[in-house]
Amino acid sequence: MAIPAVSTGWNNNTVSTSTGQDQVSTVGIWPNLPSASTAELSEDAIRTWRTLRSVQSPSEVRTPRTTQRPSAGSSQTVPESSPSVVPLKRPDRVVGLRRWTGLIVEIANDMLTVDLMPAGHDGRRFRADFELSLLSPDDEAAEPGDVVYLTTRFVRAPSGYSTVTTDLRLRRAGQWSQDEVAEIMQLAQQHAAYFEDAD
Amino acid sequence: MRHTLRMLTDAPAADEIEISIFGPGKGEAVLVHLGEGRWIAVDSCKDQVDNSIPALSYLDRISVDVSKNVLLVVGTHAHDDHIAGISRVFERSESADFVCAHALVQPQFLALVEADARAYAGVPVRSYAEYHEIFKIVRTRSNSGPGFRPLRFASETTVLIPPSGPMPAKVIALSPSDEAYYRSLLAFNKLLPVAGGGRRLARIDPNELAIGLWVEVGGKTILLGADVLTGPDGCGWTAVVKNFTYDTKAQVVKLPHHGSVTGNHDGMWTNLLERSPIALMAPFRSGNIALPSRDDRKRICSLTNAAYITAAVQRPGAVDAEANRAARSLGPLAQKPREAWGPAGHIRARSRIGEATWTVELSSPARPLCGGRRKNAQRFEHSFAGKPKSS
Repeated sequence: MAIPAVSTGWNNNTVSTSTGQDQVSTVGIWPNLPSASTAELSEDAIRTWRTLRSVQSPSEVRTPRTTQRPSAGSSQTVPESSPSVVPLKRPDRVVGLRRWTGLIVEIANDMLTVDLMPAGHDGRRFRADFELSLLSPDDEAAEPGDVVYLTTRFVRAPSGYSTVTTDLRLRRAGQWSQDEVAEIMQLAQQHAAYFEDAD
Repeated sequence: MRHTLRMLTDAPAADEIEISIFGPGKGEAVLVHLGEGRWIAVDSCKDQVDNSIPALSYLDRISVDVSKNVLLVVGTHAHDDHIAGISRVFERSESADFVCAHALVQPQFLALVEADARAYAGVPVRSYAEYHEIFKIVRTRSNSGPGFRPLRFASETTVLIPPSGPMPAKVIALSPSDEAYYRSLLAFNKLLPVAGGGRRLARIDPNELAIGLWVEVGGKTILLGADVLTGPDGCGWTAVVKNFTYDTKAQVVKLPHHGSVTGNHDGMWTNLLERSPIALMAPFRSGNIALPSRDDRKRICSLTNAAYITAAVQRPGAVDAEANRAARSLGPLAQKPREAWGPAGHIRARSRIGEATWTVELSSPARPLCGGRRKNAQRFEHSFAGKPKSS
């Protein structure tokens, strides 16, 4: 199997690599995950994972070297295609998907700390750190209290080369309008008057 | 794995006072049996493994009719480690009044609740969603009669349950003070939404509004410290110690603010507690903060050798395989994924009216706080006439 030729482009916080005949987006190589992770995936993904384990030795799988992230505010270029790339015959297939909703609880030293809750699936809550630049170009606008969305895709290429793609983005909630603030205050006054009758 | 944990499944006798505390590592909930099947629920937490509410699960397990036998549901303050799931507790407790600080029904806080609901609509991360639900339940239940509101306000020396009946029980609020009330309103003001401002809410730190409780049943007293802090002047323990006196001292205390030094007041130990009281607490693990700290543990254990905690202070080094799998699904960009929460431990202290002995029982991951105790023991007896022994 050809060792992936790694491009340096970034798009939506993912690294793109070229694997000779196949193109995949990746920030990590799926076969590097231990077998325990398979329980989190679909049955299809588990079958794929088992197949991969049997056909790929560690020496055949190489983590992309060029995974350094661009500085905040840098333009995110689409990777240039390698001249040797042959058009895909079959598309990559997403064999596992996980979505998380997070609340930024702290931003310090160019890192953000996020409370993550599973979205669309049952599971545990986690707290994790992310580089602030991952939110680029919204990184300067992000503040504690903002919501982020984390999506992780497990993708299999027709060649069997499989990857994990992660996307972190800031929820753009907009601004309070004059009318909305007035309405909130009015409702609050009404509720307060109602509850004042207690005791 | 958690289903193999030892569960406490027996109900207290009618003449037995009980305090149970639950805590999963971030969050705490307290239940108190006032005798004769009467209960109060103070704060709430969720078991983050299965999303259950440990206090409700326990009451169900010991066959308490939650709809009739819970008299009060107290939300000591609006921190997410104290109110997670409290609206579900109140919903089940159909005969109960909800107790909160008076500041939480002022327009400033109610505006924050409304803004929170709008800013985070459809997002499961709202700060004040529990209060939104509670106020909805209060409104629904208020329809049962004119002027009726199942809502009570606590401030220093408010009697929430007056003594009555053959086995009188008394519940008194120790805080917040008037000073804390005004300080909190000022803090809420700073967070109000502003036209043109971003639709987000910073999480406020309203520990000054925390409701401390004094519970007495048949001459036995319990101090529930919530997250009451030492001050500032006119607030917290400084105000409680100055303004509250009682003819007996508490034998059991739910230590304030997870055993942190910020909630430690010498006057609380000397004026309100028996020597070497039974001290119960839940830890607080979040980010880089872990309470009680090593120094806190040292201080607490110098004051009592009967201290217990619902879970380990530090996040366990070896997370279970299921958590590992779930953490990996966050993807490789997530650094140091960690569980701040985990399964909830349970500490239960019981004593019969007229007897000097308290029995403390632990359900894993609850454990003794201080060294020198038998680590695997799950049952301890404390007599205020003699030394404690484990069995």
